[in-house]
Amino acid sequence: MKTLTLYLKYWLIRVLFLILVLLIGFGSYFYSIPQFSWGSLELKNHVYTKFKDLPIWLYSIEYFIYTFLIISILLFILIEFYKLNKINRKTTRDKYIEYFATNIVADLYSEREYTEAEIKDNQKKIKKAIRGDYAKRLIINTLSSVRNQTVGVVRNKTLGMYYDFRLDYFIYAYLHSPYLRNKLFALKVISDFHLQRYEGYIVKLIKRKNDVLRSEALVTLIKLNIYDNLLLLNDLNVSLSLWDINILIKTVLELKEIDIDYLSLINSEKQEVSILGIMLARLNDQQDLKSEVKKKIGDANQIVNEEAFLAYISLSKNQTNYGFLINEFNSAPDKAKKAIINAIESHPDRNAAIHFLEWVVENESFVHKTEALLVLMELDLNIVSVFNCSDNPIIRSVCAQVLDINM
Amino acid sequence: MTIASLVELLNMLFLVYASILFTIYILTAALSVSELKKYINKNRYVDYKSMLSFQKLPSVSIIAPAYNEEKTIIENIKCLLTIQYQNFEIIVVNDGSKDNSLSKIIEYFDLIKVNKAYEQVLVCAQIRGIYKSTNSAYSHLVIVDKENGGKADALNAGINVSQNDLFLALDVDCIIEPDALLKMVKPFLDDSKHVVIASGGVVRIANSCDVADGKIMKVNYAHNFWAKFQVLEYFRAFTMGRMAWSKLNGLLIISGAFGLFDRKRVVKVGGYDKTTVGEDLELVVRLRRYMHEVEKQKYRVAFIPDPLCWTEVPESYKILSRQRNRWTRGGIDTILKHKKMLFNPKYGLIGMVSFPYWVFFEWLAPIIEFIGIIYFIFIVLFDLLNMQVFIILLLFVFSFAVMYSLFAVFFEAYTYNKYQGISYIIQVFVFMLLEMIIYQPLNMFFSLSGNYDFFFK
Repeated sequence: MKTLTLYLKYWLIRVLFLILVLLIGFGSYFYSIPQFSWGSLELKNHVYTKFKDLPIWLYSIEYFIYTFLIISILLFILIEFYKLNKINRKTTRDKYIEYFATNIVADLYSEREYTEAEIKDNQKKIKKAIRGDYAKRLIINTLSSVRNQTVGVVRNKTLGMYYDFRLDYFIYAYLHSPYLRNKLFALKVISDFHLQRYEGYIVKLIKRKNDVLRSEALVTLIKLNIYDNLLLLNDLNVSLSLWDINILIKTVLELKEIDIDYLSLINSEKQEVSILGIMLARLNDQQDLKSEVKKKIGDANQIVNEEAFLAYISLSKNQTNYGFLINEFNSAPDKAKKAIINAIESHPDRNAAIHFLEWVVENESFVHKTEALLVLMELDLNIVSVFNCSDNPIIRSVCAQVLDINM
Repeated sequence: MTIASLVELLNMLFLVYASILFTIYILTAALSVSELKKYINKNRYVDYKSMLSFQKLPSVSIIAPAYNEEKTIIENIKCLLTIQYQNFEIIVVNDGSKDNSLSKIIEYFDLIKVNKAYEQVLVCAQIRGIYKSTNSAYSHLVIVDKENGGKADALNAGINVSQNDLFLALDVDCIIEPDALLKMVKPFLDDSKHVVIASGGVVRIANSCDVADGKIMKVNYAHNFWAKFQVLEYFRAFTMGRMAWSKLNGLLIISGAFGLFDRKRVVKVGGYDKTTVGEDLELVVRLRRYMHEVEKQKYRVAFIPDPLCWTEVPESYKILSRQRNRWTRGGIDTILKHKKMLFNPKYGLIGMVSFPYWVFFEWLAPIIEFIGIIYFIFIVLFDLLNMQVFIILLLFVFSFAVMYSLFAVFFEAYTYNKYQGISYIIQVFVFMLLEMIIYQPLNMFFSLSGNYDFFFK
């Protein structure tokens, strides 16, 4: 029923808008003729005689004036409506927040055992209080926020309240609503409350044309932890942005019980999935994947290449192939170069490390010169002093910076 | 050709020009609605604070040039320090201030001169010194003291000192929302189809607003006569105009007061142009030209409709006239420097639509308006005026202008609703009407003087 209401509202607004456009169109025609007849319907244009001698373009101009004035009045009313509506919403919000704080949140944290009658009475009161959509969204947000910040009994109680107040019915309607904003709200709630029963419908949403919806649906599916090896990413025809990758990584890191198929992710044909796999391998310290990550070094995609370098350095620990890193240095993206320079500090062959870093100071970009000199300072301060007398003013200024204790 | 036929021809030309202009305004309003709705729907439930724990987030340098700002500089920097972001630095460039700005900053923030190295990738006036704070609470803060060279020069100096992925060019006296940077960076992350080279945000007017600790506490409609007009003007320009151009990916200007750029690309195109007074417009046009001519990748200049930055606008006739004169000269300079782009299909929509729009409806509009007034006087003097037609056309322009402004005010109410009270609505309505009689003709005059100064001074 709720879904039907949302569809009715959605279409009614569009139909009204269409009628308005048609009325403007018809008005434009009617204004230029003395009389309009359709069957028994006869409409006389009373202003026609007054302006009939004017050229047609001037008629149109005049008609536009009336249209603009009517639209202006409508806009004026709408501005007032929205302003009042927002004031009312603020009042409602303040009222509900107070109400929630005293009734719901207090109940959530209470250790007292309530009787059946008390619980029913309380539910009845709250159900009565949260009739409107806005109130429902407020209570859901309150419960979500408590749920995200708590564990154990309180966290479980939020889910109990979610069902007790029949909010699931509301979320179902929102998920099936024609409005994108409602769908997004429902997806957020589904992931917050871990509502796995919507899985089937969310999989359908992933195939929709709308990028935002697809990406949100994807994150929700991951959060639901149903496809816990993340392999669904390979099967989807969804292009992941850096935003999506960040959100997915954040989500995965927050999920404690997740069994990721790193290998498939790293070797995915989809570059974004490969980036995700490499980053997750690094962040979850999957040292046994070092060789797989190494294979991705030199990838044509700059981000894959960069992440592969970062992950390889991070996962190698004491078994870093420093010779390999030095050989690959030129092909590394900027951020990877920085990581290589810092990793070289642990090179067991001190002379080779110093030789490489000296080369970086003399030949590489300003940023890498700085990085290399900082590492050199740790290895041998005398070399930095030598560079301090270099003919190259840039090297001298970088030396001055690394030697400045206030920097 | 008789006078009558000449009058007929001129009438037709004016009518065609005006019709195109009004059509463009209606189209921009429609496009703005669509883009704004899309943005709000997309970002309504985004938790921007989650970005603070992102693994892959570009680093940002906030570059704020300051010249003789001793009265407000401490508060301004304190406001900048409230910005929420993961990896950022604030570079305040003291552009050879003649007052005590620098000594005040040094004293308040416990600064000492450091040997911070920088690479002179862009030409700028000599840097006298770089300062950092001994107080770890201000570890993000870098002060660059340099010889005076103007705003563009100061920004170039800031770019030289910065080493981050992106930089935010900001007027130091602007008040920005704490989450502004998070919102501005988002387009750089969430577009998988285009390279985002810059993003701009809505600038709102801070005159008469209640400000405390570098934050806007209450938004009020400006009390000053001139500022009241500018509030409306900013509503239209940012909510309607730039939003629509952003939808078309044809945005040519990002406000100099508040714009985020890809540092590497800005360095590649040579940074801010010190020879023009419209360095903000010129940089965006040059960046776009570079993307078409050199990188040849799909790219985008993003625009964020959230009111993220608040600035003081001129409250006196004299300062307002100078500002508008400068804007006009900057616009003409940019157009002439990049005239190659005009109607050049090689530059896609920019060459065929955005740039021609800028030429014909931004630069030439005040000139055509002025010619129209002269023409009107001429036909009145020669008794060629059809009073009925004149009144109808006048009413048309008035009714359209009021409707268009109301649209912008409606957008504000529908989306962010920062302004409250019935007196605001009444004042807005009164100033919408007055704008046509007072502010628009004055703006035309300021533009004409800008044209005169550019070509004849």
